[in-house]
Amino acid sequence: MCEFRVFLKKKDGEEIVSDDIIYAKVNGSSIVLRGILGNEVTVDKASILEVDVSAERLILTPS
Amino acid sequence: MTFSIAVSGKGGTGKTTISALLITLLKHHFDKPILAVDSDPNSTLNEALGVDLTITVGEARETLLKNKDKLGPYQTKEEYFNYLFQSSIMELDGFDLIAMGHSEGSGCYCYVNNLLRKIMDELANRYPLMIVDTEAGLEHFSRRTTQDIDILLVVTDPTTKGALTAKRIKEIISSLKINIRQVFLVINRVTSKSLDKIEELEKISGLKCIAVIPEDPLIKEYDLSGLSLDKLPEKSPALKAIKDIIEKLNLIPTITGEIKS
Repeated sequence: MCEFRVFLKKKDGEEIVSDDIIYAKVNGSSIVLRGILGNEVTVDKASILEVDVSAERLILTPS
Repeated sequence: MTFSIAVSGKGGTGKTTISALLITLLKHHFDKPILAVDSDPNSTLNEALGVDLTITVGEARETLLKNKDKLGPYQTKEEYFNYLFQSSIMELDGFDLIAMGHSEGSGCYCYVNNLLRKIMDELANRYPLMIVDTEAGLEHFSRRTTQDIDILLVVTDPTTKGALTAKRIKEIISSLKINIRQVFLVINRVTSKSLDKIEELEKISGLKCIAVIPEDPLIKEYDLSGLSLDKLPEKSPALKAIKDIIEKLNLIPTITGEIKS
């Protein structure tokens, strides 16, 4: 309930990037995501588009 | 496929006691051990069963986070977590026990709930039977920590508050469309004075009552002394009532039949 499913917006919809993400940080032109076990995923050339806590969705968009 | 029983209800109604007695009575009936899950952050199922906890799921996560940067070159975080997770499954006489526990410090218990759900899904097919002692109240249903259950026992004491909690549980299961095959009411700690309230409580809850468990002085005595409930003598009224539940629900043949099929 406090963990996001992260999506990357595409022309034809959304692509799932990762589940169970509890931390997101902008690092230059990348977004660094961290999960509940401390595992990290970096999404290059992206920015945060939308954060919806109640729906547990974090949406990135290519930048 | 694992047959699953979850025990829920208002706080203080005897969920853990009933879970411990079910585990005690069912653990030696199958070719493999059964799985006991304590999904209450305040882990007490182990105490009722007379065993010490080694590490909870919450503690395993905290340990992983503390040590993730100290792992050697040949061990990934996933491998280390799997090692910790396996350590949090206690292998005991006739059953394995896993306790959710909680995270350190302030904050919610979302992460450990999430991990426990994943662990239960992972373990699902390794055991003939899983018995889940849930935390009090409704949140574990909303969180879907409790889902895909064959039998849900909703425990109440002989009070209207307890029966109303049972009613809310029934409503939340229905509204969230949680996959639970059968739901029954268990009225616990019934004295001679409260016997005439049984029908009314069943009506308030909207559930079918599968058992009325008498107030058992032996349970109180064992609780106060910190004794394990698996040492309860056969004459215990609560133990007899749990045996009746097992028979009424035809549990052992049902689970054995499902294993064979």
